[in-house]
Amino acid sequence: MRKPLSHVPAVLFLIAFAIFWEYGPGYFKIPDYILPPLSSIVRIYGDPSTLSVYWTNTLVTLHEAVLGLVIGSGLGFLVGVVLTESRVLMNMMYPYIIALQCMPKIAIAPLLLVWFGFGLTSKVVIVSLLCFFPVLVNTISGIRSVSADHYELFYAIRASRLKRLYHLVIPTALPSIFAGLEVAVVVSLLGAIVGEFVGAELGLGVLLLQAQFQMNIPGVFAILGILALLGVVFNITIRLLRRKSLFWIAGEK
Amino acid sequence: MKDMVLKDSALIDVRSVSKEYDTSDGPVLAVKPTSLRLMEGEFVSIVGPSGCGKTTLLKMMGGLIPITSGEIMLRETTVKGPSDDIGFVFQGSVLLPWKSSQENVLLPIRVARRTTKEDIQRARELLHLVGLENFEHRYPFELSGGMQQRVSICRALIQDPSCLLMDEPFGALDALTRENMNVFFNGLWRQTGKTVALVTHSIQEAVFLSNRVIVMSQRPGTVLDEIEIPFPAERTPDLIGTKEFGELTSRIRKYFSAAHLD
Repeated sequence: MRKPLSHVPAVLFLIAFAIFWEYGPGYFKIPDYILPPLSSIVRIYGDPSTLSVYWTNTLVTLHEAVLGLVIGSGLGFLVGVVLTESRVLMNMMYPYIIALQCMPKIAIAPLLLVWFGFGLTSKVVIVSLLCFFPVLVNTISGIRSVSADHYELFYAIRASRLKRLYHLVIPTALPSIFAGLEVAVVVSLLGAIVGEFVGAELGLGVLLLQAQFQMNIPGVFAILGILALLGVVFNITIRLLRRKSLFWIAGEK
Repeated sequence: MKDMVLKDSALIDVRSVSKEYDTSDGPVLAVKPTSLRLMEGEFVSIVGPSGCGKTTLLKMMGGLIPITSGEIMLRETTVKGPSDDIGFVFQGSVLLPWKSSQENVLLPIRVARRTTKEDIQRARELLHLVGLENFEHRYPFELSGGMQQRVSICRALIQDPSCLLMDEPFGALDALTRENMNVFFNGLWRQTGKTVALVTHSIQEAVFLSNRVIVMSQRPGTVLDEIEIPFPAERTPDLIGTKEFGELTSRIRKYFSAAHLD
């Protein structure tokens, strides 16, 4: 439980920060193209035509991120389950998974662009790739945390592999899988934006580059604001999902 | 309440069974060739020093681990793996925290087939029997340690096995809860008429609950002695204070102090 007044310091800080942003640039004579005052950024959100452009492009980025998140996390989960169920496959694949995980995967974005074009596909592939590994690694470590006692119980009640997966292994791994998902959610937006930087026709990443070329710095900040909001929404969604699914863990209530 | 009539037939017959483990230093003998019998309806406790292989022996009886030599019979069939006719109660309660008491009790059925109304009815009856009638829909984290272990006993009973094998089921409980559980479990045993083998560290618990106490030697374990406990089936806490009870426990304790010396 939060104490009743625990939000107050955070709100006070926000107000102070906003005031400083509004009057600081003028006071310190910082030019608009470096740091525009807050009001010039907020004003953009009031302009319907700009807003509708933002909206269209937000949907594009959102589409890429969510699709990639679902595909990448889904595959990470499936591969994690399959690998832990088969010792041979695990021994065969795990060293390469670790090696790939250590590689900065975003570096292959230019290559993916050549392979999959400027449209949705290349971004979804990049995002999937980024989301795949955190979920995979956390699924494996979650499954490895199943206790020997529980395995023995399932042996004693003569459960099939599939029943064991469903009733024991996956629920046990769930907290760890969610930890992976929390990382995946963050990198999904990152992947979508970087993918758009590398080459795209639509999306917030494209808008961001355009605003930068036009030295429209308030525009850049306005788009960053949308991205921050998306990030927060993603994070809250995952946390709600986590709280719903992990009701049995102390501290999740 | 029916009085215990011990039938003259063995439910589980352990015939010179041994267990060898492979370790990096070569094979280690955990259980020397050991023979013992569990009669129908009987309550037998197995006591012995830590690491003497009593849990190993129990798990072999339940078909949970393979035997190295010898043979274990469950009635007329050789034990080759787990069976529905044996319920196993583990050291911790080993419940699934995301399942309610009732779902935990029904787990052995859930993994075999779809649960029926009758199964659910039976699970409720069992929970009622162990005094958890208002806790069917509670989750393990809402239950005390003793309650959790009672749920796990219900889980072992859901398939209505002839035999319960229990590995230190009350070991993790505090002394007071443990004593209550012993009294409670004596009642449960009398009501269900199951054959029970209990592995325990507590000599008092063994004498309090059993018809017979089997004393095992240090590793590699084997049967040192079998002590008949001549008390009537119904046991009450007053029994612990009696002279006969004290004599029986000290007789068993002597084996451990002797084992300690060599």
